[in-house]
Amino acid sequence: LALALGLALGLAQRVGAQDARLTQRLDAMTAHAVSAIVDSARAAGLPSEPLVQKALEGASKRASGEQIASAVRRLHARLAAARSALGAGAAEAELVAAAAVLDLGASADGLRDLREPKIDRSLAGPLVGLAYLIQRGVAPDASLEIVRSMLRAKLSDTEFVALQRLVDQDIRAGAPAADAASMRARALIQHGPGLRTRGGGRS
Amino acid sequence: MRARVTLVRTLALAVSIAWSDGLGAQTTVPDPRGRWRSSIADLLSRRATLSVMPGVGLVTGSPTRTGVGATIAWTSDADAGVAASIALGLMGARIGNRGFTRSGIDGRLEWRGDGVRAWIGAGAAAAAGAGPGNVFSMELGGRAGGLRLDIRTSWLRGDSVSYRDTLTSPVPRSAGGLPGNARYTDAEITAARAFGRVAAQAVFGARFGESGDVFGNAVTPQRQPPDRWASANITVPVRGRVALVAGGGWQPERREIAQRGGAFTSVSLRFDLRDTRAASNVIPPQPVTPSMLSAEPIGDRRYRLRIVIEAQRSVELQGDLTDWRPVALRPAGSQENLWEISVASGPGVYHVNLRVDGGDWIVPAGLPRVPDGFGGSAGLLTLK
Repeated sequence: LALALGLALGLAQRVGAQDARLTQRLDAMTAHAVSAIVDSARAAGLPSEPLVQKALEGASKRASGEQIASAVRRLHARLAAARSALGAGAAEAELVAAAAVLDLGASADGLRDLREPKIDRSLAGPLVGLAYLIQRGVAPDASLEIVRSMLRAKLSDTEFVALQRLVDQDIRAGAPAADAASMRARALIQHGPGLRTRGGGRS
Repeated sequence: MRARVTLVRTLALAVSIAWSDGLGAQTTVPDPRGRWRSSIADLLSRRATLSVMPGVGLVTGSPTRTGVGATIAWTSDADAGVAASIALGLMGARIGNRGFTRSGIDGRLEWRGDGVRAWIGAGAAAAAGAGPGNVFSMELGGRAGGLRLDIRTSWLRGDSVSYRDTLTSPVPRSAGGLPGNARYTDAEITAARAFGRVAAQAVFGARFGESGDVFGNAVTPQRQPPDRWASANITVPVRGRVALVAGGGWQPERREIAQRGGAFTSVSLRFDLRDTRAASNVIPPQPVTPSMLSAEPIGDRRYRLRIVIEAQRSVELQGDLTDWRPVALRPAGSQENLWEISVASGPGVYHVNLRVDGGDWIVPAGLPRVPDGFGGSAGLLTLK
């Protein structure tokens, strides 16, 4: 009897633990499917909130239940691959950014190389910068090399944001994305924060 | 009569300046009068905003009022400092079986500070039908946050009594003055707030210092208890640049626009059009380049998001920060086209989209664009 009660309580807790946002915004079947993926992520030690948010994004964008479940499942796989590449200690922000980078076509091996033992800092900012370069048309391998060299030069998140602004400015002026990215990254590595204030503070 | 002539000359001047600027013939003129003219031409060469507003209103115990109004306005740029604006307005209305038409010009100088604005302006209009023949007005105003104060004095000059029957109260008559001449000062406080895509306004007002003929030979104040009124309206975007404006409450009698006083309800459509001078050969103004969506911490797990983006009515954000529900940004006030919002969240990387004037959801400028898994894109925003 005690075992049955325990099982029933456990089941009730699991049902009760289903995120209310999912049940409010999704149909019952989709909410159930997404909750199962969220539970699986929790069990694997992956962050669950990005998965809930992906489902809410789908609901907001009027995607079908099937599309929502598929997108959440895909993100779950990306988060798992990102953690595998960055290590078990990777923070949620790093995993979210890395999953986006993987979605843009970067390789998991390339991400793995970013986590060098001597680089002791959050990779969230550099990964967002990496996503920006790839999305602007710089090849994933070239983008990874640029970010890796900036990390080795111990540039801060501020310099990664500055790189985005400067590259954007150059592309608007007609420069090829790859040339702009490599030239601006080289300049930032050589001159550091000074270039940001001279060249792209308000661009 | 002299007032009407003056008004016609003012309108003619405005039109001629617009033409000369459009032909590119305006050059630097050394004398002060030339500099003034050059400034006006520079103002008129800027992007104009045309607003057209047809509508219908019901006032208790009065005939239905239908009408249409159109305003074209030019405003100079000023992040902080003094900005000038000129507006030309046309309106036509029908109150029962009586008609009313009005055309006018308004000018305004506005000081813009950090979150605060103050202005002074003047206007003149000529009208025919169920209202006074000429109207001159002066205004003072200010705005801070969602609150706005307007104080407006109107001088009315009528050369007929034809409109008296249309209005609720008899037009003041003074010894030696012409029937229909009058002056009054209105003060209004407007509170505005946006609820998602819907903008709401509440207006509270009072009238002071109403008097009879001020243009005539004798000024005979006819002290009356100040009128007071209150009303509310909401603006709901319908599609594109079309919005539905619905309101109700109590409104003052405003003879300058042949508006009867009393309880009222109204429904109108608003059309906002831009670049009305695109067909002319004026160099088109440069569009506002959207800035990168920036985030700065303003407290424990609170950030202020800011973006410079051109919008007529609304800028909204949705994303991981808002459980993917739209939240409205508010104009920062300190800088034109600067919109901001504060959000409660911890540091992290978040997916977001932005919507301007009820259009499509877009990726904010400057953020990495990533596929959203639903056939669209989202931006990656970093909070540190």
